[in-house]
Amino acid sequence: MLDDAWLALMHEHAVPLPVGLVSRDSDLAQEFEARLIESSTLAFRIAFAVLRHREDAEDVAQEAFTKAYRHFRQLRERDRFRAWLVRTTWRLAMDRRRSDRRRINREGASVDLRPPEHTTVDQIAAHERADRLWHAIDALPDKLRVVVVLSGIQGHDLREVGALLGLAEGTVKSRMFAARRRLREQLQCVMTK
Amino acid sequence: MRDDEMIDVALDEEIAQALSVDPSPELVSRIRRRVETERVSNLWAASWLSWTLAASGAVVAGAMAFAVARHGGAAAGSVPPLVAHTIPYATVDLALEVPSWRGATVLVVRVGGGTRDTGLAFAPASARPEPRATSRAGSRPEILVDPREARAFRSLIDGVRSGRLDLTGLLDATKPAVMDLEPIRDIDIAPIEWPPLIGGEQGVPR
Repeated sequence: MLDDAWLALMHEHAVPLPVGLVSRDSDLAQEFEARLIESSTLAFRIAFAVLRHREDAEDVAQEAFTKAYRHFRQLRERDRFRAWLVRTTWRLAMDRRRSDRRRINREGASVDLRPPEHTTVDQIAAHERADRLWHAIDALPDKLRVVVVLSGIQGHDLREVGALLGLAEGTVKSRMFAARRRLREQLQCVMTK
Repeated sequence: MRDDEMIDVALDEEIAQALSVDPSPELVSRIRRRVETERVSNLWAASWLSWTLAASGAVVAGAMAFAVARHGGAAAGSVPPLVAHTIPYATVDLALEVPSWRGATVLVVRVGGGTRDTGLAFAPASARPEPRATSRAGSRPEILVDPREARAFRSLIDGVRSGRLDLTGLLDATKPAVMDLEPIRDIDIAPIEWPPLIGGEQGVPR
């Protein structure tokens, strides 16, 4: 009699356990898939803003998502995940850029910035414009540059940029102001054309 | 001021346009594959870890079981054994003065002596040996003496000393018994006859 009661109690507690575990893993996988679809372009563009090379930017985005998967149990909240992903992607891209520069300097090579052949005059002008713009952005300090890049991606406003970087909105605003002033100084002649 | 605002707007547009680069369509699927590879490797690592932990636990449990069994055996062995245990090889002569039918007699109890011999010997009081205990442990093999046997000897000696034991009967039993011998009879020995040599001279073969 006691054995029957004990077995019933075990059955009552044992059956839901695997189902709960499986459903929890399934929920995690679904949530990660949703974050991946939602934020892959964000990660790619952040990496591209630093590296300006498609394949390298995609590699960095992959690496960032792989790291995010390892820590996804602590990053299930959407805003928390995106903020973590932005910072990680930025850091990985900067590391990659530094290592690429070291490699280029070591090999004595230089990045080919010439416009592609068989282009029109407008295309050449646009390429030069973009080249000067990126040159000016690259000249900004890191804390100003990341604000400029994030505000230029997916139409983030100052509040969203602050949430992604873990900064107050006022801080983002002042940094944005400083960044624009520097960019104006460097690009005024180009922008007024 | 108005120009600055216009420049800012133009800058924002330029930056947004420069950053409006879309990844290749395969990016998401490549990330999925890489994450899946990561997940599988984590599963392998987890399974190896679990197997390692299980094996370690089994080894520890086996060691504990062995230790417990050994400790239990030692506890069971703490009961005084029926067989004798070893003591260092020693020869001990104990001299006791006991009354006997011939006056003072020394009872010498010898324990040891090269073999597992224990016995009684008697000597006159003038030849009383000095009690000695000679330890030759190491030079000769150890002997086994049952502790119960040793206790019995101690109690025997104490009993004789205190007079509780009377060994008179024992000493009487050691007296040689007188036995009646058959009378010696004459032995008849038949005379030996030696036949004479036949033929000629002595020593010449026939």
